[in-house]
Amino acid sequence: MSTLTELMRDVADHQPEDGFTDPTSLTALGRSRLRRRRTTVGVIAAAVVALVVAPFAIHATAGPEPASPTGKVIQLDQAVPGVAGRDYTTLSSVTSGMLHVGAGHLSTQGELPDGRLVVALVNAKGTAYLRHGGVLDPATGSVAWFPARDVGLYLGRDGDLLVFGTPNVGGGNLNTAPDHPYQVYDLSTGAWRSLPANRTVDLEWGGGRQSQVVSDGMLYVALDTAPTRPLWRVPLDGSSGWKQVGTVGAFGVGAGSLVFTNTVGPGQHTITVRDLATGSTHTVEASFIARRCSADRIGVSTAYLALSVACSAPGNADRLVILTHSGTRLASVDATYLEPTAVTDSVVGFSIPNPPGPGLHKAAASQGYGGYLYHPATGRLVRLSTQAAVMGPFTLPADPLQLWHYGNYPHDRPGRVIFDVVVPR
Amino acid sequence: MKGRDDEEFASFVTGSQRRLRGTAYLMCGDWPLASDIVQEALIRVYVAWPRLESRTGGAHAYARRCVVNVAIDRARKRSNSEVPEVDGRFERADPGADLGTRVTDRESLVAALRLLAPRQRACVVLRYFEDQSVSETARLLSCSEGTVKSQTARALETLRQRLVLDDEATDLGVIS
Repeated sequence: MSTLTELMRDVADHQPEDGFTDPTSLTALGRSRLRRRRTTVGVIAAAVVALVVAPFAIHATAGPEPASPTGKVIQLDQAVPGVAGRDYTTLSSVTSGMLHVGAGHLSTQGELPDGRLVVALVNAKGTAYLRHGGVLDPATGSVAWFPARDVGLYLGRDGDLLVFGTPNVGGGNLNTAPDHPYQVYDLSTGAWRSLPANRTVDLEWGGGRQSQVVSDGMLYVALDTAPTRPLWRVPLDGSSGWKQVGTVGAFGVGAGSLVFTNTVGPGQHTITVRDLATGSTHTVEASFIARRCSADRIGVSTAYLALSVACSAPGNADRLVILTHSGTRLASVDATYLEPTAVTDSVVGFSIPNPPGPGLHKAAASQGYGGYLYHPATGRLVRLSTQAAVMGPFTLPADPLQLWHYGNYPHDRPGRVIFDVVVPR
Repeated sequence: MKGRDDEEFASFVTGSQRRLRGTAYLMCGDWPLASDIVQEALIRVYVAWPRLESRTGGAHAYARRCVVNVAIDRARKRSNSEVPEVDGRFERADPGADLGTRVTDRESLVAALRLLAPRQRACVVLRYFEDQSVSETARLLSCSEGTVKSQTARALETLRQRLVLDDEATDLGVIS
């Protein structure tokens, strides 16, 4: 004869042996929680200071509103013009003439911390099948070419390692999956290395149906399936093979954390933050992503998460939500076709890209197009450009941003500066 | 925390995690989720560790409270979208039966617990698994003793209906 107590004890006694958290990991996570609390307190304290000081500052802008459950709502017209030296530093400037190479042109792929640019040679047909990559030094206009290798789009950088997809992975048009879909170029040795093949999911690599993030010495790849996506990772140094990290919706990696939503597309959303060192996780309340909306991209720094949300159409973000790792919402930016860019511990970058083409930029200033920097600690919104899109990496906070001035290169007159590489301050 | 405190905390985790996970599982009916709940609860214990009085007893009580609160919070967040996996009649096995039937017993109980509202579930788990008094349960749930009694009574009524529906001879009368 069983009592309820006996039955409950019987249930509790029959536990699976896996799933217990290592005490050391819990200690590490506890310390991390304490640090984040202090960071949050610091952010709030800074916001309070800014609220008090802002009315007396010479160049004061609208300071942060008192803390609210939803955070501050930011409108683009609250932005103040960015000032060189105060809001950003220009590392280098690129003219359209630098991008003409014979019958083809250079496609700028990314930027290095010293202002040089990772480029790839696009042939006269404009195909994305890129055989030659290199580094352009805007100071001299010269390109240091890598040894020839068929590469697709540049995916990101980790130290001296530049990661590329092969043509049909990074937006190219081959129909068959390559043996080694990802290639790494080591700037320090001048040599290419192929990352191992992932035999488990080889058939899924074709057609560009995946999202890649380079961070913390790893390449993360999520296959674009729905409603969830298997997420894989492989070390860039070739020390081991592919490992499936888990199943995610939108995801971002940075500052030692993997942050992901539970689903692709509309639905009820949750956000999980996983400490990559300890494997411990916590969830963040995410009801602010309405059921009809989709989580788009996630940027991660030590202090902040920035999550873009698409409500009007899949892939077209119209809200950027900035929150702490513990889920406190600090601010949200509402704008159509918003593109998140860089997230650091002091600034969140985003852009409103204007449509490419001659003449269109003339109307851009009045329509909010351009690159923006938001400072969560002070609530200050800076507009870097009125005719630009910020093209920086979203999850590599140490890298600078590309700030475009025109969308119609390389057909502009050769001496014209078409974009700057800037570092936000 | 200092290194010595970390060692004490690690020792506490080692000694309490299994019991806490059992409580969490009864609260949520899902082992991976129970692990998450315990992890979150133990992190809260870590944060509060320096101010917990009487390390052993105080920490255990605080951890139990955290498990219940985290489980209730998560159940509320999930309740809008989730449907109980089993929502029908439960067949309870004969008492003293073999391994297979005991497993069925356990599954039936967990399925029945899932049908309870989070606070009803908490009352039942705290009263009949954690062996807490009515007053202590009320303190842990931050409610009145009358609320604990009424919530427990409703929960037991639901359990009794579900668990003896097809087997009137099964003695669950002792649970009341």
